[in-house]
Amino acid sequence: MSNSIKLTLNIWRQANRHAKGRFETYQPKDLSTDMSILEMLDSLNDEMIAAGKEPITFEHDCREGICGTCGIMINGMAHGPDRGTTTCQLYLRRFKDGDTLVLEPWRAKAFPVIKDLLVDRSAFDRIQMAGGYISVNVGNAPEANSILIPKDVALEAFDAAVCIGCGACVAACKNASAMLFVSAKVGHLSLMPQGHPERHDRALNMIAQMDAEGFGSCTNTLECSAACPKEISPKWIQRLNGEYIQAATVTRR
Amino acid sequence: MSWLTRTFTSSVGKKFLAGLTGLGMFLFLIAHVSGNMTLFMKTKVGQDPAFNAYAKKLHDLPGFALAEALILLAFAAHVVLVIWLSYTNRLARGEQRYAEVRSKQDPQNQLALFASKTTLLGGVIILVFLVVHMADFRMARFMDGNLITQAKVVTALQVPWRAFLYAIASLLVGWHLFHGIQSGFRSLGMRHPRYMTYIQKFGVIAAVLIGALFASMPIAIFVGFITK
Repeated sequence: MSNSIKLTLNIWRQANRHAKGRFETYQPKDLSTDMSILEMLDSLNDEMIAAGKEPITFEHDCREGICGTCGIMINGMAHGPDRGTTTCQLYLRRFKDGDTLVLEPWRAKAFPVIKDLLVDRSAFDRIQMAGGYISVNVGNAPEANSILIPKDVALEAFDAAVCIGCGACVAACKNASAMLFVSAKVGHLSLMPQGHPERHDRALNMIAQMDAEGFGSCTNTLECSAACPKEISPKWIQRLNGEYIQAATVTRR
Repeated sequence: MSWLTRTFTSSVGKKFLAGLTGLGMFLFLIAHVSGNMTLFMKTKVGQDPAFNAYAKKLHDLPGFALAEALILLAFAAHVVLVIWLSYTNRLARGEQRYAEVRSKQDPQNQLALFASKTTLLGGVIILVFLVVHMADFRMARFMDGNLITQAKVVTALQVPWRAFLYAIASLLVGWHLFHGIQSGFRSLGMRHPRYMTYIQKFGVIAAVLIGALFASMPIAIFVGFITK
């Protein structure tokens, strides 16, 4: 097989939330450069199951970079070395024969490890539930042009709406801050006319929930944006800072 | 909780205040370095040095004591907020740290990245330096009410260790501002791409200028360019 590759994997193994984890070294057989990182783990797990060992737990769903489920630290970088890429879109051809890969789960107090590479990201769900929605009754499909939105505004909102909530921003930030995630959620809704009525409450409540979950604060290191598989700009964080102060000073409640 | 305490104990509120107080002290530094530049003015025989006249005028300004108190307040607030934020930031990673961490930022961002990661450390060193600085040039006025003079400044900074310390601390202030200025504006919510690029450039130029001008004084005194 001309496209075969040999890799040494140092993978974080942790039995449960409370167990002490450790790295274990694996040398999977029959790897191909056409495999993604997740397919490599599938193949390794098949080997381990056949040998009667406990397979490695990792999260995955769509495997086409749009669901935000997969995500691990690969050699110290969220989703691996490539920009604008999720773990499932990273192929072994990116690495050299004989390379060693260090695979770790996201590490944050707000993202506790459940098992091996799987972390609990329900903190993001709770932030969303605190205000990442609009509560107007949209009724049936409206007439397309009844609410006019300039094209550039729609496009800008979309730049933030592409956030898949994978948590790479938190994982890559030296402060484990969730500001890029929260700012993308607050930002795209506040730009849309439908999101306007609740924009102040949204900013206040989502930040309050973010703080309560134990995420860090932003020190403008901009690593989040470089790690973001959707390449969301740090300008949204600045926007959220402004939005929050505005909300705190003008809101009637 | 009132909206005021709720706002300014939140992470974003604390950052806003840290940015605001930081930028306030940046304005103070501009005034401080510009005024001290009078040390470089040539003194004619029989005349008082320009620095002494500047010191006199400055301290006679109406509201000088208030301005000094405000700077002290901004300074104290900045230090407390930043330590508070850094402490929670450290807790946020959790007990288990990463075995390996690498940046995904572009190579041209690496200097800014390094600056952003060392701003806190630089700030702590500046804090220690300020104790020496206050003991050198502020305590005297507190004790006997006499204003600082060019002769006192030159005598103090002719001492090699002090000249070295002041030069290094000046460069550290520049380094702190290198990340601090643009970070402060970001924390205040400045975001328009049209002026954000100018703020970034302005921040870098101002940081380099302030660091270099402050450092030029102990160096010029040490080599004998500025005399009593």
